[in-house]
Amino acid sequence: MPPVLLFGHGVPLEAECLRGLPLRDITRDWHAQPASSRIEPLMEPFLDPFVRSFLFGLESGACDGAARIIVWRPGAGALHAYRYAGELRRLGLLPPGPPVTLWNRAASRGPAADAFDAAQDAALALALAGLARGPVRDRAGPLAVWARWQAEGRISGAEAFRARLAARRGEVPEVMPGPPRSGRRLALAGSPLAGDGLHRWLDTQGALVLDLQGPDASTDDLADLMRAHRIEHLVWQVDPNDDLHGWRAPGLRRLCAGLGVRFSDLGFLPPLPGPGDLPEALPCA
Amino acid sequence: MRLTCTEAANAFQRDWAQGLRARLKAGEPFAFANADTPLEVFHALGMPVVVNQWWSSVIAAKQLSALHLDASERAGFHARLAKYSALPLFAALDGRPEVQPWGGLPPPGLLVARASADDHPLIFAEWARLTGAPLAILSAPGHPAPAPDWWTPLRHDWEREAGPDRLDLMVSEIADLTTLAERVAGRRTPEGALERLMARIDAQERLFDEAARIIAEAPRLPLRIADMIPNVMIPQWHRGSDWALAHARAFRDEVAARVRDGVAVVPDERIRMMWIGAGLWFDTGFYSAFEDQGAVFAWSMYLPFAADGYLRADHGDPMRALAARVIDLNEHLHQPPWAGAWHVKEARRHRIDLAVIIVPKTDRPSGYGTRFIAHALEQAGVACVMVDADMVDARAWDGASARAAVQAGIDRVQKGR
Repeated sequence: MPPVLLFGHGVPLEAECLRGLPLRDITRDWHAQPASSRIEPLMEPFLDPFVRSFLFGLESGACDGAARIIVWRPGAGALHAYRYAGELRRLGLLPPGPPVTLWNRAASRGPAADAFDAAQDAALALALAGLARGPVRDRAGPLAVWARWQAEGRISGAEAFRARLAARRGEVPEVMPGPPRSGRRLALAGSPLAGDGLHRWLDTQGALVLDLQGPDASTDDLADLMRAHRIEHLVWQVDPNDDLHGWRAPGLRRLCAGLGVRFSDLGFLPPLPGPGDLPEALPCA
Repeated sequence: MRLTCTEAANAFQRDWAQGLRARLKAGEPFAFANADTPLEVFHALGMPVVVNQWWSSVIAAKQLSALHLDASERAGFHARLAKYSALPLFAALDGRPEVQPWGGLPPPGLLVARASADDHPLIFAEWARLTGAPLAILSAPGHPAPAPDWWTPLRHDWEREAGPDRLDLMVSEIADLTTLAERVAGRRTPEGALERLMARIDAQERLFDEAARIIAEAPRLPLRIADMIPNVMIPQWHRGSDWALAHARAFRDEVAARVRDGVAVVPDERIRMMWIGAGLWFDTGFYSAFEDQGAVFAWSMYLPFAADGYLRADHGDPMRALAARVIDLNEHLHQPPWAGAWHVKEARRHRIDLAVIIVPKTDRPSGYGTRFIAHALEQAGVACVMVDADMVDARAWDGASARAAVQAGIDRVQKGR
């Protein structure tokens, strides 16, 4: 069954209009620039890295065979992904591929916003009407278990991150808990990451028990989360072209200070950080 | 050489600013709003409104941007965050009266932004945290099927072009904003005020449309863009007021008289350039730096956009017409396919040889789409130069490099003839 691909941080896979479809969240799938890209000259160097990767994925055929691509408007950069994809196809620089649908959401609340969102869902359901639907896979259950195991230090931060990403791609990852880890209780926040390089490094620096940048990160009150997870040290990073997450940094730093949590800013890190991007040890300032 | 109108516009703005300052000092509540929001709500109510990007340009013009941007970085906001839309916030966070225009703004009565850029809700959330003012974030749902030539259907057939679902949402949000503004101001919008205002705005933008046509058709550029910008933007901030309408008429007439009299910025005009993007507020002298070679900046977006971006027939429903104006207001200037097609249309109309495109890499909503604009122009036979710069961050401005890049573009055009 051809999959339905979704792009946009935070796209709600459990929405009623998507129930039973073979969904694959491709937001954090990473596609490098093809050797001879026709579209690269039209992409600003500061373009959101996930938008860039998405467009390279379209160019390299990574999305071919999908029934449809849905772009979740509220995701950071998503509207530009939709605009650029549409224009590159119109210019003949991207090959024809699966149809791309924009899925909007109101930013306000109230009856008019509800009506707008409902109309968007209905339009999306109509666009997906011809596709076969199967049983609904439970994601919430495994997510809750992984969150608990991670909080207990029984799976590493990297394992938990990989499992969440895989679950959003429609896979069923096997995760086995081990004995609780010891060390500083760490939280990770900032820009979304595409790879687990930073997680693996943090797993050597302590126990990464709370991942606030990851997919399906809790939206509960941050202070409550840090207290509940007994966080000792929060690690912050942003993408080299970030213009979004950095707005939260001073407030988060204040919050940490108020809670007695150490705050370490690793500065600008690429979405796939490697050893060369990371310090030798976690700064404690 | 300057227009009489320019001095009149600047004088009006000075008087208005003094009056506004006095009103704010007296404790009158005001709205602090992003430029792409429906300012008409506040104008119809008679509530003072300070526009974020205008205030940002005032701070920059007073050479205070570097101080506040440095301070923002010391406060933990990293250096690659947007500046044009955030400079007023940084100045407010500083708080010292001696380093701010007017000694700084008092806390606003309400804040309003549109979610047209991912970061705007966050910037305004910081404002709300700082001031305690109620915050309205208007939705910016994307157009699902944007047609390149948006400017023609949107003048009349906007219901079909913008789409009823998005318009319904925007109308509701404008109505809610009106209720909020009335609660903060402590009074109701007078009956029929929005309708009358929209009719005057329509008349004002038609005058600007005419002025733009006269300039485009003139054999040589009759006035500099440094003259065009205040004569458009000051009335646009006050759009629909009696003064703005009268000023638009006076401007149109003065431009027409200049063309009739054969006035030219450069008598030996050889290269016509367009400046694409927001103004370079801290170095407006850049716009006349190439005139000794017969190269003039003949175009900036502000005048033509007053017509294409604002003219919306009201069809008996002024609030819906206002929604149709606002719904993609900023997006038309920056996003493909809209921005490329519009700049090509304008380049052809103004017989442009060379486009100079400002690329603010740390103001991504403005920086995005610039390569598509350049591509569209080059396909249409217009040479392009990209200039890395921020509209208000003088620290990042390399004037010598920018001049060299434009010079190389001019040389290329001349060589190609």
